[in-house]
Amino acid sequence: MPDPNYMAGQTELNWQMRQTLVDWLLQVHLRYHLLPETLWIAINIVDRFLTKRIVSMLKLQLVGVTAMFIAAKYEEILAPSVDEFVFMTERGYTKEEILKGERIMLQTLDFKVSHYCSPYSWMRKISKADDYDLQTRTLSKFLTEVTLLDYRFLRVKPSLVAAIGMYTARRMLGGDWNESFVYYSGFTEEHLLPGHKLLIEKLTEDGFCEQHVCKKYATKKFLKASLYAVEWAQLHLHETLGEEMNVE
Amino acid sequence: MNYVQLEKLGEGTYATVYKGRSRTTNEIVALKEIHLDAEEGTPSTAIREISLMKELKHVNIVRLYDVIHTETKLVLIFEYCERDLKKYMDVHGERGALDPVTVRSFMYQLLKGTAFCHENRVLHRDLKPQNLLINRKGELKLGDFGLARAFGVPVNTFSNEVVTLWYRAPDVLMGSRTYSTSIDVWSCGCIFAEMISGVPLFRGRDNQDQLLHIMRIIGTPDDRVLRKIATEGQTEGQAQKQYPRYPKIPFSQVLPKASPHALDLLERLLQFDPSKRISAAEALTHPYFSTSQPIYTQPTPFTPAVIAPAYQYQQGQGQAQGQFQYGQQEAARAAAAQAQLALAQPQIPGAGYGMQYPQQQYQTGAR
Repeated sequence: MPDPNYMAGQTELNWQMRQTLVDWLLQVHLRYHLLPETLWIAINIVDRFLTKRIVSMLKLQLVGVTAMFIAAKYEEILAPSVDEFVFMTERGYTKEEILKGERIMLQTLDFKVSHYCSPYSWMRKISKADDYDLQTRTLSKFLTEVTLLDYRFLRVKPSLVAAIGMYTARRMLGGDWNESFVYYSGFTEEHLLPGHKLLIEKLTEDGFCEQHVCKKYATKKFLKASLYAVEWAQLHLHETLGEEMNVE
Repeated sequence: MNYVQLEKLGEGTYATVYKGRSRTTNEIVALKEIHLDAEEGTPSTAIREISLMKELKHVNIVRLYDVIHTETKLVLIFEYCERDLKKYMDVHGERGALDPVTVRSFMYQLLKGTAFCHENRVLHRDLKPQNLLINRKGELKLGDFGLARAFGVPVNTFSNEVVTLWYRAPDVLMGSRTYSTSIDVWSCGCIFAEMISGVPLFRGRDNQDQLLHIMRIIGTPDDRVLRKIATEGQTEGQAQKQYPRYPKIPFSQVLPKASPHALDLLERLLQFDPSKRISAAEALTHPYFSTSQPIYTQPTPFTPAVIAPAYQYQQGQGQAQGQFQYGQQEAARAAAAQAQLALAQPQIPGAGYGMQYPQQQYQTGAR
């Protein structure tokens, strides 16, 4: 796990820049039709690297693209070539820089890539509770990807992120968190409410709809999940915040 | 580098393996040298192998000591093993067939290593005699994790281009991409039969031929099973293939030398339907490993060369434990004999970390 406060050790970077980077990686990931796991692994690599190394603003995108390069090699059956990654950055970096970056990154992370198990895998498990209902899953995929943008979720372990995504999706679609969901996720409603609240806050943030993740999930292919989720969040924001206070 | 490079042990498609010696401890190691592609950098197989091997620390898995990463090459420093199982069978077997004591010891260790991978959510995906390494203490270790994968919580979809043909599970041959740990269990079964008889059990030329070889021995499963597996193979729009209806040949006819317990275990490992296959952890508790019955059906012509050292079984669970306790003295004797044997033939190169050539030789031989 990365250090959730790593930004304190960085000199030029801030959380907003991280969010911009993550949103860009999401875009690259979609454009190149990479597997869902690849995105999660890449961002986990970025955060762990930034936990250990101080990076200049100019090199932040190089960190991102190199992390995606490594994640794709690890996860994909056919990973894009390094030239394609150069192209992704609009030639902002050279091939040599990416290859050198790969070496530094693997060394810094001590080659550890595989111990991370993303929320995506956990979601698949929780989906057994409603027999893989498509609407819930699509909405939940969107919601868990939203957590990638929000540094506050860095301290939340992947299995809990998945459960928060599924829980919020269920709420939005009017379902309850029944015993079956508790069983497959390992979390009760009480565990999930704080994260749920953070997620609803994030969705109602100013300018959130400008994020690429929103556009991605506004398409028909993704059942316009982001439009539905943001609207629901705006309608239920006050009620959600109140609920959280009762629990505390 | 902290290691002196000694003779070359072998060469594969993506790496060359040398024997090496540590300058600080004098320990003998295997150096797997991977050339870095100036075009694409670190090969994906190396990233997977290193990442997974760092997590897997077990007596029955080759230990990765260190990684040296420079601009032009990547060197993995592994624990040294004298030879791979294929070579071991050639040297020590009777026309490749190993004696029952050795088979049981190797099989136990193979399943131990495999179960440990599975507990740590790692699929090896390429178990075959060339990837199992034997050291002079008679310890068997899983090596070459270049094709291995970590699996998420439930089943993932993977490439079905995995596992050398002869050790490939029928569900993978039929196109399944949702395979899991059962794929390694099938390979264990094939290796088990091969240690007993000295020859690979199913020697197909290609995917389809391999499947027919399997069916000719374990029988064509009924349509319901075939349909179930074919659906998992996502062969879109493709009409279901028709297979000849072969009856099952009892394993006792295929492997007349094997004991009833061995045959029973083999049967459970080589189930056509992956959901019916025993797990590696369950297999370790099979009576084959715990029985106090002699495991020979006929006396072996030479002293069992190798018994796994007793310490390995001391922490072993329940049933298996009792049986292997006897081994202390005998194991010491066998290990001594084995060490002598190894000293007598020091030049045999053999730690086959991922070298492809034995398999190729093998295939031409079979045609």
